[in-house]
Amino acid sequence: MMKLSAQRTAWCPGILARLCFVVCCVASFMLTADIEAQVVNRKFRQADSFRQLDESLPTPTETRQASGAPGPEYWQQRADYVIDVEIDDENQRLIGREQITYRNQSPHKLKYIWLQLDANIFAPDSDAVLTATAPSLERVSTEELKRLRARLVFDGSMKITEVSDSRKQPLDHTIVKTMMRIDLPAPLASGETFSFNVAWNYAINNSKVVRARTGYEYFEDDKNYLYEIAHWFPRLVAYTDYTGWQHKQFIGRGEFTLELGEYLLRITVPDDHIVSASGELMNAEQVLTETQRKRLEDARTAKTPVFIVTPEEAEENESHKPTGKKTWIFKADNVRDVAFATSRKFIWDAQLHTVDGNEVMAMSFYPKEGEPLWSRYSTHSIIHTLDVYSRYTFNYPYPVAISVNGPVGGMEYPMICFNGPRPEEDKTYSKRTKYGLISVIIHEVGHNYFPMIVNSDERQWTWMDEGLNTFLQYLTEQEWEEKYPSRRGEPQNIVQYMRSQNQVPVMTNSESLLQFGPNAYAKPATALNILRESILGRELFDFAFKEYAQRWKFKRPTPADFFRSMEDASGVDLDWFWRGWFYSTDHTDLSIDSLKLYTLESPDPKVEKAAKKKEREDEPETLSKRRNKSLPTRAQSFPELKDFYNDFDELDVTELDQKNYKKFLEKLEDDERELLDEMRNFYVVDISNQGGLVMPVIFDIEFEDGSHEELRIPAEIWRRNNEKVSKLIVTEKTIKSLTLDPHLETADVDLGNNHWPPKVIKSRFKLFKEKESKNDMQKARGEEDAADDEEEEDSQ
Amino acid sequence: MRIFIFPTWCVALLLVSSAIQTSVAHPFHASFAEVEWNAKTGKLEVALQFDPDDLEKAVRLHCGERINIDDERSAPLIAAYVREHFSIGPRRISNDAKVKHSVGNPAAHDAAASDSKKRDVAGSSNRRSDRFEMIGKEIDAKFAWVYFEIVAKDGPEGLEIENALLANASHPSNTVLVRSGKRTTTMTFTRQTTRRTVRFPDAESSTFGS
Repeated sequence: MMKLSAQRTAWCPGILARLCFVVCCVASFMLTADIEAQVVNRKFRQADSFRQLDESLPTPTETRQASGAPGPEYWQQRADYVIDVEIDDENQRLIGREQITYRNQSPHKLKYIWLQLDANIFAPDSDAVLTATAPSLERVSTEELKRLRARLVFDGSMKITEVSDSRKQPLDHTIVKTMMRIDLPAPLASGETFSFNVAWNYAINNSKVVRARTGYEYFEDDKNYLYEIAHWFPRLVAYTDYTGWQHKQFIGRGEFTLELGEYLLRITVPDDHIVSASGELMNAEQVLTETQRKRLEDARTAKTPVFIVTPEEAEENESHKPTGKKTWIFKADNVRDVAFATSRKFIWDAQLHTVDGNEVMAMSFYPKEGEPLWSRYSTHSIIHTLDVYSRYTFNYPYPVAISVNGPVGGMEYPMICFNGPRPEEDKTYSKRTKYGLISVIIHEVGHNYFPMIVNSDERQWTWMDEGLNTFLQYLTEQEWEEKYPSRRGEPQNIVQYMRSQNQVPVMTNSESLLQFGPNAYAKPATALNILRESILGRELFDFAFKEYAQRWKFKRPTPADFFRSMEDASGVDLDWFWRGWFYSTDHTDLSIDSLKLYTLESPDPKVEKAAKKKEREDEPETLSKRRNKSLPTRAQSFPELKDFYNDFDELDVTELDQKNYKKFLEKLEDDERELLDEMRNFYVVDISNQGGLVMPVIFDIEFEDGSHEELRIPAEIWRRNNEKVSKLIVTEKTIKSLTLDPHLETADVDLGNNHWPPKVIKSRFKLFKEKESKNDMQKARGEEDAADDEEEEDSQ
Repeated sequence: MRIFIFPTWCVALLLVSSAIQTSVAHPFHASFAEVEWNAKTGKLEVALQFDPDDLEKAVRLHCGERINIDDERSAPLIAAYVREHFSIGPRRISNDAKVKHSVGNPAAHDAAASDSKKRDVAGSSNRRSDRFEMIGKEIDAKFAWVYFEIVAKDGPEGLEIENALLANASHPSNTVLVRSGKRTTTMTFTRQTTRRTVRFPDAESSTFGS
């Protein structure tokens, strides 16, 4: 408890100054924040946390406006594909041929066009291989050695067998690692169209030994294959207003951005395979049985998923051999890519779901190894994702949404995604596997919105889709069931990453990111959650976020478009927030350094002097004074020595005091007199910013009467000094304690300095050890230790 | 100690493998350790956090069995895995390194068995594994926490941390926060860098308060 005393000064009308105070300090130490990523003012020696972002963002144009919206001159290219592809199930090869119609909708004339050949990452001389730095050679597992051996003989790069124009005339082309340039016979003017053909083939990777976003899985028990095929055809490189051709080499991390277009896919596979692909199946009559078609029809009105291929039928298929081939035809409109999966092992379930009038067939494909988990959760997870994401963005626009189980752990493509979790061989599964499956399906289906429809550029910025998508994944998980164990989204879950040192800002190219997952997924997702919950509030945030999504639906946003849209639609300057969370590696660590109490001196001499008398009486008696009490004095022996001064007490109220007080009151206005009557406590709390990131200051104030009050101060409190600020708290009550960030909403990395009076925060280790204590004696010992620690802390 | 000898072609392959693993979808495998020196006990108290799936995969690979980390019987195997891949002690000479193959490693079982007994780790031994004492674990759907102590009578400054956790995952990132009184430092370990020496920055240049 702090003790109050007063050094009172005269009341001056109209001026709330000359206050007196007692300082109750907490141990404080100011450490220099990590300000390297911020702009530093050399004279003021502080990071310029509130400097406007304009100088870092590209100049607005009529293509991309200052509001963050696409402008009247916005353009993007278009590429339409007709693809014939065959899966050679005997040799695990893919053989393809495509006709691409490229529409130059840019205002520019193009002499050549670029295609990306992602599979060339599997070439032994790819940049991915050559630029890999040496791993630690101290521990190498046998599994890794197997992978190494397999990789030595495996070449999965694309063999281009033809590049020709619409009249089958060869076109000059040059392969540059994972890119291919095609020189056009004549420059392609704005508004013109060019059609050409490419044929290719490649060996499909065995995902067990060459792990990737695509590949096949071999099932030893039944000798069957399951293929998940992606990044599989020469794809038109995006040509954009912000970077020209986006032909940054594929090194493995920066996934892709592509042109939107229409696809007609003809997939030829063994005739006992079930195929699932981006798009609507166009020839069900040729490839499905009558029973299967009937079941698909039933799925349109079903309340729960309906089996199109039952587990029993799938198991039966496993033992068959094909009698020939079948070609499955799919059509996909307004997509930037297509992927597919095929196997004779697939169980297939489906349920039609309507998202605000748009009918979507939600479907799942999985081998028996995925059961019983997949039939229970996959299609439900798809539907739940469509509902929640559509509410925060726009209605899901495609006719199908598909989740496939296979060798790929989690990867997204338009309308289809691959997800890995499976139960144990004995068909049981842990809680982690269950929620891992639901979460990964939510995440990968969610990618339809970002970046498949809001076509951001993952070759450049991973966070623009992974961060936004992980944020919406968190919201969707929380609507699945109460207490859903979300791993990302809650600020407290990112504290350990935020305090680590080997970081780069979120605004770093995908290939150069350190701590990839926390950087590109968890940090931006958490930042957006904080922006929503603690800075803008749900209503403002949701409006702005939806506005961004709708502005850029089927268009190509950049980070500036996101930052500007969020500010434009919310009406809040968030430059400091983007600068701190996206352009710097600072973290949140606010500290309560001290609390000072000021009280007003009363102008009424009766009150004031009585109070001072009381203070005087309360002063402790010194040792000498106590011992001198019985000492005979000369004044006692000779009373004539006493005069006026012996009886005069300067704290007695005199007539002059009364008169002055009366005059003083006469000069006061009514409102000033009222103010004077409200005798209040003026607390000044000193806060320092130890982590560098400017954030709202959120206090829980506990009063002596047991009541609590929450004080939420916007981050702008730091705008003139981002290292130390003082805040005045005026209250009639007496403060008992203060807690910073009481709801753990700012990702503050050190809670040890968030309390007044200071509080020892036990480490996770100590808390665990205490919890594990087996008897009361051990618990008591733990408390003693903690008390000792506290004493030591105080004495330091 | 036997000096690491590995055929040249194998080293070349290792580089290839590392690169190809960059193409795994959505790779992110991280562990975070909070290490705090308790001056009274002369021990480093470690709370180590994993993604539970990462931990389970790593322990399965280490012991060669499809164990379930939620199962209490897996505790000694988890301890053995952590003890072998995370240590703090006096600096080792760099060419002491040797290759360890960790699938179905019988030593993992032996180590696990010995770890299940509480041992006196008074610090008399120079072997790092003898300085390690498992305290417990907490595992839920979100995180796996492993708690252990490591003897360090004179505090952590100048000691070497070896952290080769999650080495078989693509792009593991293992961050360690070390506290000693009010001094703090953080270090990150990857497949490329598995050893670092604890050096506390000056208070003025520290990046966050303790």
